Amino acid sequence: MSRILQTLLPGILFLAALPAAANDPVPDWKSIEPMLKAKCYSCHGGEDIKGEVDLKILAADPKMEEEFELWHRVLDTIENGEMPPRKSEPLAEAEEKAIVSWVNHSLDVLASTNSGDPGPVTMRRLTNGEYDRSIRDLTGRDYGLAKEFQTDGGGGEGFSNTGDVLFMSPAALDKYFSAARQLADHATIMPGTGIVFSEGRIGLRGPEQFKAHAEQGLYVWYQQKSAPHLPGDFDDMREGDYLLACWKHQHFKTPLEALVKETGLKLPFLQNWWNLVTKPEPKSRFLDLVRVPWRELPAPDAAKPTEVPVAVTARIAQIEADLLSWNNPQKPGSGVQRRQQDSDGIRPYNMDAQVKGKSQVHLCFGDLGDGNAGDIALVTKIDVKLEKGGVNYFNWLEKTIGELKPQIAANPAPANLEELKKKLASLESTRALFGKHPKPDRKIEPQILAVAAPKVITLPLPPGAVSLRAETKLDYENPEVERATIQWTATTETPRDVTKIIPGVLTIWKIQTEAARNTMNDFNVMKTAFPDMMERRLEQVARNLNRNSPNYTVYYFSDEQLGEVLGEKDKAVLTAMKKDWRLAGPRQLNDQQKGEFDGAMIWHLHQFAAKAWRRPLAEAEKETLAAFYRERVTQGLDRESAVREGIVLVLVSPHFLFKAETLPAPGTLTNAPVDGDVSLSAWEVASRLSYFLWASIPDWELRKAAENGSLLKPEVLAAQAKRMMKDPRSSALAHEFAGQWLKFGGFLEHDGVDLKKFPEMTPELRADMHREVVEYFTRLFREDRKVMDVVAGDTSFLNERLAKFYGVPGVTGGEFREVKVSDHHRGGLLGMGAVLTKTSRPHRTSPVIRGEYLYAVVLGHSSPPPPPNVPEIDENTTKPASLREALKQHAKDQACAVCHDRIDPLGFALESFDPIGRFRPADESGGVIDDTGVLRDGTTFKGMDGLRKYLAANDAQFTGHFSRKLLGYALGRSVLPSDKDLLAKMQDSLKKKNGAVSAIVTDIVTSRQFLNRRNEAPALAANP
Amino acid sequence: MNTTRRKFLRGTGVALGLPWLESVSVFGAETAKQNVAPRRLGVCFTGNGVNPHHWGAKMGANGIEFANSLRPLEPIKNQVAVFTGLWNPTTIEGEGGHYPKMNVLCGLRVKKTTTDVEVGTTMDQIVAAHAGRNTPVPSIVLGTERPSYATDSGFTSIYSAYISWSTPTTPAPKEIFPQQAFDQLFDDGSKRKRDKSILDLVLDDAKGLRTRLSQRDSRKLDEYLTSVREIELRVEQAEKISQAETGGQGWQPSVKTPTLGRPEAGIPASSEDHLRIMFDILLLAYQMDRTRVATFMLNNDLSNMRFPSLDGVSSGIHELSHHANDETRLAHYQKVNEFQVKLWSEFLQKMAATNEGERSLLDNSMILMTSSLMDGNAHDSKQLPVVLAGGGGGTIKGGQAYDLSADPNRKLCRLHLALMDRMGVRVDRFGDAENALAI
Repeated sequence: MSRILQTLLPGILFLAALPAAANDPVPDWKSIEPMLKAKCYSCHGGEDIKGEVDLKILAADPKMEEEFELWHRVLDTIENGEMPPRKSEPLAEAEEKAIVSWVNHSLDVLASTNSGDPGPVTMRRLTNGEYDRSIRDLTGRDYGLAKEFQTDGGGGEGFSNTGDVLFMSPAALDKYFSAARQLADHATIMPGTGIVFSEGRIGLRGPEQFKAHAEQGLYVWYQQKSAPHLPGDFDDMREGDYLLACWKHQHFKTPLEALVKETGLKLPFLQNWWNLVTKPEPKSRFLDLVRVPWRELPAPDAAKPTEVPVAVTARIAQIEADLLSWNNPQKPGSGVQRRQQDSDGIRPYNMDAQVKGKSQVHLCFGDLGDGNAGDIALVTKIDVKLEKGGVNYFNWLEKTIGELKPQIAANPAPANLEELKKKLASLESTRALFGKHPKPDRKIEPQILAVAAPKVITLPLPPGAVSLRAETKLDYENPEVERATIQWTATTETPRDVTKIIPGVLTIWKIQTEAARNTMNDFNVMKTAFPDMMERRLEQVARNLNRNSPNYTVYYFSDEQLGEVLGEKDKAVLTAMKKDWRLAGPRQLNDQQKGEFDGAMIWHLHQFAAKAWRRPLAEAEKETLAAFYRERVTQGLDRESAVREGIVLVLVSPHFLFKAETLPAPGTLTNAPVDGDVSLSAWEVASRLSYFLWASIPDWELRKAAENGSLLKPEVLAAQAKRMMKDPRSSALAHEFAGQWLKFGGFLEHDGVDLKKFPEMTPELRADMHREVVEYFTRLFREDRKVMDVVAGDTSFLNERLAKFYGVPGVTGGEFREVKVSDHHRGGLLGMGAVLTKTSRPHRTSPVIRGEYLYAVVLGHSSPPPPPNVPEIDENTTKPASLREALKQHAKDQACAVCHDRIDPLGFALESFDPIGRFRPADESGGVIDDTGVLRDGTTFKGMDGLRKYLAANDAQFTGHFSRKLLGYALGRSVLPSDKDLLAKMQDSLKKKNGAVSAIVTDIVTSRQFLNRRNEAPALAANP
Repeated sequence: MNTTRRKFLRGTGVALGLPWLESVSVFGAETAKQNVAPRRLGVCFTGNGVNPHHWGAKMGANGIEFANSLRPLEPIKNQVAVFTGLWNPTTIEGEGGHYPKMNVLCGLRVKKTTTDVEVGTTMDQIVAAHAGRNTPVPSIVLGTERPSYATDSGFTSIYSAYISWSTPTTPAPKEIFPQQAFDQLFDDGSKRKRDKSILDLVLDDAKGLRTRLSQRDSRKLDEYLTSVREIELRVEQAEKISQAETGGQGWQPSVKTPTLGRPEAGIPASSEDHLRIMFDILLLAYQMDRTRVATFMLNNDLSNMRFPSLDGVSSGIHELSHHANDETRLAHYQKVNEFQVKLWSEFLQKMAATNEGERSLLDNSMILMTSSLMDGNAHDSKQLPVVLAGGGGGTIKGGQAYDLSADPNRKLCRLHLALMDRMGVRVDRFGDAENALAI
């Protein structure tokens, strides 16, 4: 160990204090005091109090327990030969030995008297950081309200989480009120889904808003949750496969679940298909087009009972084709199914057919099998498109007949006379259909074709015909038109049975007639069973909110099915949302519903309070909260506002704002543990743990371990601590613990950079630098890295901007990632821009500030303040090159040398970094940089690399200080002499666990100090 | 009436024992109805001392003559009294350095600790407990800088951030955000009314919790209990005041609604802007009689606040205070002092321009400017810089320079006693002093 570290160990580390040998008589205070009086008091007592050390006031009583830190300093400086200073009379060898022995022994006695003493820990209010994180974890949102609170200061080991310095005042309470009100204003409280915090302010809501919230919430939720599981617009919905599976279920008795596995179909849809094809309801002649043919499918062959007959697959293919024909596969939602509702019978509806290469076309007029009253169509115009040009069909008929007649009559007779005769006959019989109305008394134009369904009319086609369009309309003059429901379509295939519904063909009716309505109702059943678009399928699920039983839509989820698909958590959410709707929906509630509503609201308030207060509620507390709520409702507040008032109450309660650790009730302390400790309850330990590692409330898992008491088992505690370290919430350790200790917490607001000189220091770069340190410490804990990496590691976390600024190549993009930087003069904390900038003057570097930071803050050496009347070296006016010289001069004075010999070399080693942390080849004035540090014992290191190696070689100094700081942070108090054993154990564990930080975290959380509190006197009678 | 007041006093931790309490006489309750403008008390503080060569005043042929740093007070010189030689003797009893001197307003010893802080209840807070009853806000504690987290030389840095302590162990919370200070002072109190029923319940909560705590923890919880009661009192008080205002009886403040917009959130970018807006808020608070007691730390002790607008002054004030007799640094130190006095003087002049009937607002006030050190270079607290502005409602003669250097009893707490007396708090002793300074 180098001299500097060996001799300047801060006493608090307790490493130097070895017990005096048993045979060595230990001197007593009476024999020591005169030595101090003779050699020390002239500078350290009475008039003069150098180094702010006054020994004279301890003359009567050394007050070892109170002043142990002072005595450590005495020990250190004497052992190092720093005191008495050279110019003063030295201590005799025997004197020095006696004093050292006495201090060592006294400290040892102190340490062993009550090793592991929980120590004085004052009840802690939530720090501002803890408040924000607790609210974040309580509400699920980061509101950052504490920035308006009074700022916290530091105590104990230099952290804000020390109870004594966390004050409460009317102004502070006022702010807690105001924050609680703001939070409550952001909450919606529903009877089922409970308290939910939103980004924006919600404020007072009327019953309609309340109802709309429940309705829309559920409606949207249904859609969001079912969307990933429903077939999309262009998906193959495998209708045939489902029908076949249903057939197998019926005939092979294969369970649906097995069929699903076999075919990759979805169980809920198969269930729905099965219901559709087997159940008689709902009635619909359009739906029957699917289920009747399915029911008529043949059974398996007796000879081949396990095979699917070909006839079955063929018929199923036809059913599927018919079903699909209602829709337009190119553009879902634009097929007949969609257009049917707009059918009005007033406009003409065309029959279109592609007829290329065909000699005839069939015009089919169907009566839908519901009787043909009124079912008369008037085909007013038939256009035929030819390969070249086009013709009016009736004209063509006339013309062709006119041409054929002379040909047939010609002499000599043509060779194809018979053929021509046949053709003429056909055309004439076709022409005879025109101009005649089925009702004999009706006169119509000769070119109009009037047809009463059911009827198929076959038209011979002109040669070279490509397509045909027949403009057709419902015969409105027919007195029976009120009863009309008719389909018409043109085809070159075999015509469908026109006495039944023709699949995929629009039905024409007169609007607003009973016939239209009845048919549309029938039609709608099919539409509902097979919505033609994804969004209509989603809508069918969403409409569950107003249904008491599942719908018959096929690609659809009932609530039960949706629950099965989504899992337990969503199932619970669905139940909760339905409860919201059930209670918020109705205008009037009956008494039973009111009771349920209030009960639910109170239950949510209880849950919230238990989470906020970090423990289960006592029965009396539950009653108080319930009574509070009821009283507000009685006073006329709406239920939601009443819970909001309750939220305010919970958040300004001392149970939330203070992390109280209570004494056992009087008389219950039967199995008191040793030394008058009070064991913390599992819930109290959970809070200590979560505030230590997360600076926030316990999560569900931790609460569970507290609830069943298992948390008190060391192995469970250690496992929880490890789990929690991995959690992102442990970044609180980077911000709060490391940020406060290493003073980078306020770096974002740090203004100590001369921006005129360093315009590169943009707010973005500053944020990156801050992020680098935070990221580093976050990873340290989350990834359980080595403690020594902090000062001796090879890597850091950079994004492109910061890497460029540092001159580290090969990093692209804004994302922070780990980069090996040891080849670029960096690695760990000391190479970070935030630290190097923070320890510089606005316009130049300061080896003294950097040295002091490293020496006192990072390594934890005690560093007395400079004597009041000695100025700091004026670094502002001195040229950098001569600064080293000036410091040397300064250090010639013994009083200065005591400190500067230790501090300056560390700072010199960092001189190669400019005031904003860039590596530099030359100093401000172009001078060569000497980054050599030489300690008093001659140990020399050069630059960052040398410094890092030096620190690595003397690792106990940093790990010891790190442990001490972490312990102080965890316990919320100063480290005491009685913590010596624990600190030593932490050092041991660290060695055994390869330096991983979890070793010391585990030691801390399983220590007596962490799990107990002092059994102190109970509170006196309450304040009047 | 008396018993509730006593209850309150103990609640706020004014723990000087019962005999002292018996001797308290208060006319706070009466002042609400009085027909003359009330008296106001204020303390402004700057850390790190002052350049001693340019501080102070003496009596010349034409009345008071200021040293350079106090020159900005010239326009109101007849309303200013400058004291030389006042100090807190307790500050040199223990250790050196900055922290033990942070007791300017109570004169009691600063406990050396990093945890369980203790100084003493400060005079402004005792006055607030009395005179504060008549205004919506009992007292306002303003500042510009937050405490740091560090502990140093066995002290917590909490000490350097507070001059007002509402109990010996609780610093009065300091507001450094202009917007927050504004809201705190000019809120109409309606919000609090809704809080009242909640207050009753959390008070019960706290009382229940208290029985299960250790003595140590119960003291912390008592801060909470006191705060709850205090807010309850304020709610009641706000109702009374609003009744009185509606009734139109007695004296009415000359400014009825804020003449200042609600400041933006956050801290102003320049320290100069920050100081100005805080002074403006304080002025308005006095003008509207929202509070009669205030303290304002222009900066913390040990602060390194910078004033880039001052020509050539680039160092922070703590750095400058360790001038080592270097001429440049001394000159810069003085420039900063003078600048702070200038800002203070602007504030005082606005007070002087506020007419409150018989007298101006400044005439009705007593505004102190002080520090915890004289010469910062040597951490010297053997005398302190003390300047008092205002007429104390016609009870203080201005334009005076008092040199008390030779007075064996030159305790600063004697001045505090004199000010407290004028604010209606009659006590026999305060801090380390027993009889009021005659001014």
